[in-house]
Amino acid sequence: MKPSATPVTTTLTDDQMQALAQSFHDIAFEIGQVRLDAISAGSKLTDPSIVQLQGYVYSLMNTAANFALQAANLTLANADQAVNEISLATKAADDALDELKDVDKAVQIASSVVVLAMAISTKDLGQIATAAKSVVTTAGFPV
Amino acid sequence: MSVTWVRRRLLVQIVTVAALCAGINGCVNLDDAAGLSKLADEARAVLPKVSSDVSGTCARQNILFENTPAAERPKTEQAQDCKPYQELADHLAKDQNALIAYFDALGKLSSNQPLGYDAVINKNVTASSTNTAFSASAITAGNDAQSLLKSLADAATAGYREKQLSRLIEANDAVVQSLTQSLKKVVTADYTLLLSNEELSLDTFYQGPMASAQPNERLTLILVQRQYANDKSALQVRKEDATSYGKVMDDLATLHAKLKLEAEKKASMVEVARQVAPVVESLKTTLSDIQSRSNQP
Repeated sequence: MKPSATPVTTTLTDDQMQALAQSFHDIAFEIGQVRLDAISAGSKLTDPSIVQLQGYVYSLMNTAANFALQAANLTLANADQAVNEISLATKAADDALDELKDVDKAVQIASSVVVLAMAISTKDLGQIATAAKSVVTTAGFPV
Repeated sequence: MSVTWVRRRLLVQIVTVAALCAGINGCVNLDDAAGLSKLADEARAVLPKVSSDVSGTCARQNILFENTPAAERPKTEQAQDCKPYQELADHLAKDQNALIAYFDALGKLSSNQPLGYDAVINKNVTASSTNTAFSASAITAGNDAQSLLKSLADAATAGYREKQLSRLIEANDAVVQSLTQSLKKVVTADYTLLLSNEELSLDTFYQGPMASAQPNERLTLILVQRQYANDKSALQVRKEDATSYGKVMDDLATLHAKLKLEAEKKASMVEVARQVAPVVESLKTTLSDIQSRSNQP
């Protein structure tokens, strides 16, 4: 039996971190847009789902800021594969949120992206992969 | 009066003064030719307006957060911790000070003026520790700044003067190129993303209440719209400043590369003046742009 290869652990490059930060910022922007559209359509600022969306906007902006500010220590096993999975997931979320009118659906997608951000902070490739898949399926795309 | 005409006139002036000066009494030096000390003074006055705002954006976002009624945001959300922002701003300030001090030192050494700040340089070399939690560009900038400061400290200790200037320029070109590009990246990419976050905070703060305003709140709405427009305009100025900062760093890199090239060719100061005049003019214009935007009401 062949010994299994140990995954190569690498630190994400500055450009990769910048791209991740931008992706999370863009999703925060899209969620903010869904929230504003809902308010324009008659939802109240204090409606639970509107408040929840507001919380996700803050949360994802913080994630983006953290990646931009102090990102040098993000070291992942199979970093390129992880970044690829995260990128596919954030793109799926971004696309699904664009022009979305369904607030509940936006809450679900936003929640899955926040879970992905938390998974990244664990640096556990398994958790990242699971969370990335969850984002893609919640966004309505096949895995 | 066209920009090209103004630039051409400045170039002619610099070269003429340098040529006259050299012809009359041989007084011309690198500081006369490139105006490095004056340029350093202008950069020292202007660049911190941009770099210090890395922490300013966090403070402004927190004000918006705290002014959002508690019922409109989740109870678990808290204002941001501005400490990392402040640490990065401090780090940037040290690194850009090292860069400015270096150009200032080139000017002073070339005119045989004493450096006069050996103690400060030594202190900064020690203080410029690198926080490994920063982005790779910020860490690179910190290492480059330390290297420059060390080089200046060595030059001061060894009593460098005009004749050894070429050696200093040639030895430090790679570090200057790296430091300028790292500072540019931190400001034009990382800080600009933080400003985009601030813009989203602004939009969220104003647009929600504006969209849900009642018909009897018309006059209040007008006032709020004006305040929103003012805040957006101020943010736009900061974004333009960040872009200008990047241009200043590119120009400083180009200026140093030209100085190195001319040093290698052992060119006359008149020729050096001719070569660097356009980039010096571009630097002055960009620094002046940042300064005038900060003077706007």
